[in-house]
Amino acid sequence: MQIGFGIDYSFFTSLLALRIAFLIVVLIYAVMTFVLLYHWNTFGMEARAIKSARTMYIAVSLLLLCAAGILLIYI
Amino acid sequence: MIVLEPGENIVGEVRRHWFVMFGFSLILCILAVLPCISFKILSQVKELPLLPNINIIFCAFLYLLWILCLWIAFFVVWTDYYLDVWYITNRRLIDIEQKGIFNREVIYVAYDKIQDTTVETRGVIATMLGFSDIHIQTAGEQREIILHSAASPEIAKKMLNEQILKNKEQKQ
Repeated sequence: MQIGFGIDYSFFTSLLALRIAFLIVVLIYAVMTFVLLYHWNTFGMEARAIKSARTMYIAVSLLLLCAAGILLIYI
Repeated sequence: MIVLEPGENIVGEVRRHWFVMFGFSLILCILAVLPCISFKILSQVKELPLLPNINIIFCAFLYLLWILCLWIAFFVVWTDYYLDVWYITNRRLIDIEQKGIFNREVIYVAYDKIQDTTVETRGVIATMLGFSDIHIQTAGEQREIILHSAASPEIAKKMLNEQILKNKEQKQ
C-alpha cells in the first residue's frame, strides 16, 4: 500500500506492528505504574487522597488495556 | 517520607492551587478529542488517499492506546503537583519540591531563619481564583524558597507568621 512520496506503509497497519505497539504501551504502563506507586507510597502523606488516586488510575488503565487487547484480537 | 522530630506536629499544609492541574487537564482533554475530530474531518474529504480502507477496530485500538498514554501523563503531572507541598509544623517549615518524577528537593527551615515572607499575585486569573506565589527569604544556604501558585496564600502566610511568633516567644 503506497501513499504520497512512494512510501510503503503497509507494515504500520500490519498485525505485527500493532502487536509491537501494544507491547510497547504495556511496557511503558508497567514501568510508569511501578514508579508512580513507589512515589505515592513513599512520599504521599494523605492516605485517603493517595488511595482514591491509585484506585482510579489502576482501574481506568486496566480497563483501557483490556479493551485494547480485546480489539487487537478482533483486528 | 518526612520524618518529624519528637514532639513536632504538622500545624498546616500549603499546596498549589487546583487551577495548575486544570490547565494541564484541559490540554489533555483537547489531545484526547483531537484524533476524533481530525478523523471526522479527514473522512469527509473524498479525494483523500490517506485513509484507504482502514477499519474502525484498527482506529479504536490506536485511540485506546493514545488515551492510555494521556492517562499515564495525567498521573505523572498529578504526582508532580501533589507532591509539591509546604508543611508548617510547630518547629519548622518543610518545603518539598518534586521536580518531575525523579528529582526531589526537601528543605527544612527553622522559623528563626525566616527573615521575610512575601505573597505575590500576578494576573487576572490568579486574582479572581485567589492563588499566589509565596516567597520566603531565609538566612540559610537556600536564600529564597518559593511555592508557585499556592492556594489560600493569605491563610498560609498568617499561619506561618503565627508559628514564627510562637517560636520567638518560646525562645524568649
